[in-house]
Amino acid sequence: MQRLFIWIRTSLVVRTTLAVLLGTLVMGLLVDRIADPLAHQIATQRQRQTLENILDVAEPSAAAACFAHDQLLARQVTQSLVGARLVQGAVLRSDQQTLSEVHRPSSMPDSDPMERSLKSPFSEEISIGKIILFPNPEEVRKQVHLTAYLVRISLGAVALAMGVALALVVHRLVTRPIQTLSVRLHRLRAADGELLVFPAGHEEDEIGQLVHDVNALVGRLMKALHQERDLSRRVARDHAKMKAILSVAGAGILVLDAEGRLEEWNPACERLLGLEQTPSSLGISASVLFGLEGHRIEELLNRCRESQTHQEVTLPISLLEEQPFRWIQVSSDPIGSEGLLCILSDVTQQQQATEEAQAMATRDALTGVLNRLGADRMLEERLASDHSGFALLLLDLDRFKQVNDTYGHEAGDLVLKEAAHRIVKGIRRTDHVARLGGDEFLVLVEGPVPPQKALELGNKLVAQLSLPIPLGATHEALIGASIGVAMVRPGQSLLPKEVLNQADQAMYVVKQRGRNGVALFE
Amino acid sequence: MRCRMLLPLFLAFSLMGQDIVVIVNPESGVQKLSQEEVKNIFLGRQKRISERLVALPVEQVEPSELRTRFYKALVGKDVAEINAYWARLYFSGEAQPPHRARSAQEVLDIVAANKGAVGLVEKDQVDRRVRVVFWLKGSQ
Repeated sequence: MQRLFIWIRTSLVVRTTLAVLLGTLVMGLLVDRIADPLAHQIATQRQRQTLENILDVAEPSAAAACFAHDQLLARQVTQSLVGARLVQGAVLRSDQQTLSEVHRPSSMPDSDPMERSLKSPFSEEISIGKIILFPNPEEVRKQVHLTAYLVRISLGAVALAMGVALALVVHRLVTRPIQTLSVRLHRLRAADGELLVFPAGHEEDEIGQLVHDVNALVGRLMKALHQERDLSRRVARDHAKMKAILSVAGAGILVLDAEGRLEEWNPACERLLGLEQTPSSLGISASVLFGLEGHRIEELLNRCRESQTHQEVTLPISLLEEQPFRWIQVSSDPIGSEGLLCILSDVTQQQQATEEAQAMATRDALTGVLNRLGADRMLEERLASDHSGFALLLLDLDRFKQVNDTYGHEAGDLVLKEAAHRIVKGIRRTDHVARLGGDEFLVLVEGPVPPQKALELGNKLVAQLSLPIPLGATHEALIGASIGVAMVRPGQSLLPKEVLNQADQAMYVVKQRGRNGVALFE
Repeated sequence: MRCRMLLPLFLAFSLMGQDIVVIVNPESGVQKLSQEEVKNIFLGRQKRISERLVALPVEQVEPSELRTRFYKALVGKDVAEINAYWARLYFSGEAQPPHRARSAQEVLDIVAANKGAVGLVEKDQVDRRVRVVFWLKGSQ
């Protein structure tokens, strides 16, 4: 039974046929409903017709009997009438009397009688009597049944024939083509651009239209597919190009997701950051790659994300032991609304060059200590902030001019170099030395430092500088130092030139006293 | 004058045949009969000519054209129909068709002899033994 229902649900042929047959059945039932009254009507009509015919035959004799008031003839007429199966009773009446009345015995009540007025055989306008017939109801009923039966049969047969014909036509014209279409559609390889074939004879009707529409759809599908493929190919090409560019790029290129995790990187990154081309690198946070400077990378990325603009930072990186210390410039740009693009450039050389240039600007070429510019900067720096105090020693080399005059500039250079060397050695590593020009030196002793200590240092330096300086194998130079000391208390805000002035004044005192000594500014 | 006018009329009539008249016995008590009564008597509908007397219709069947003329003029029907009518009644009923006389003389004889007799003859066959009670117009 289950299978039957499934069959019904899934087969168009079965459904349409069943529907048509069901329709026919319903029609048949309707027919049945109307068959009885219709049959009744037909049978009654026929009966009346038959009775009329009987009357036609009996009329002349009946008229004669009435005319002649002949009871014998009248009885004969009525009896012969009652002899008909259909006639239950007959009465012949002249205008004066009932000439004859005959009834067949019956248990059923009389049905409606049929009357006919009898005209005189010799003058048609005059009515001379009437004849009355009572139809036999039993016979009527039998006739009705028979007629109804026949009506049912014929109408039923017609309905059935029509139903079958309809089913066949529907099957031929609709169901089968649709079935064919369905099978073909099922097998259609649309992706290959295969087109649906029309069922024979249906090129121009609705089924043909359906086929047209399916094929148009396939056409559009093919077009879309081709476009997709082209697009795909182009994207693949672009992607390959990108990859090629990335792989040969000297700069490191990182693509990060919205949370700053690695999505893609190029070979240059590996080189710069020591990143391995392994899947495990994927998804790690960018800041991890930069070791100790990771927090600065985080700051950079945040700034970039928030402002959605280009941001840069230059960081010192020293990741692997065998890798030298290098400077990496990291620039970050947002990619749409999620993700960031980072470009890493090795700017070590530039940085070094900058530093060198800076150094050159602030270093004395001959001695290697700070020059005037460097000294000024340093002083400014020290005095600008809330400093912890320091001592400033202004140093003049005594008798330097004589050495220069006596032994020449080259010797003088040698002396300067040695002097600087001895000063550097005499001070702490955290203190600074500068050559202000000629034979003038400056020493900054980082503080806080007690004046006594500064004076001690000054004396030490004087002693060191007083030792002979060899000039080649044969000669030696003897110089001395006049040192003026200026003290700057912690937090004291002075201008650099004020401090220098103080130290200068103290040095003047020393020179006044006869050189080769130390004096403190009071 | 009247005789001279009647003569051509007479001649004309005699060429066509004569009118038929209906006669009864003088002692029947009947003076006149209407066409309807004549009809009913000769067709068996009316069975008495008076209260006392039963009708005895008498036809003259020779020459046959007389009978034809009579019924044609009386009811406008052919003798075939009249015969058919009587055939029905004769076989199944109790009514009797009119007596058939073979000559006018026989008709006269019967009428003269029977009080209830009703006969038909041509007009100029009538004699004193009978009384004319109806003149059938248009029966020439």
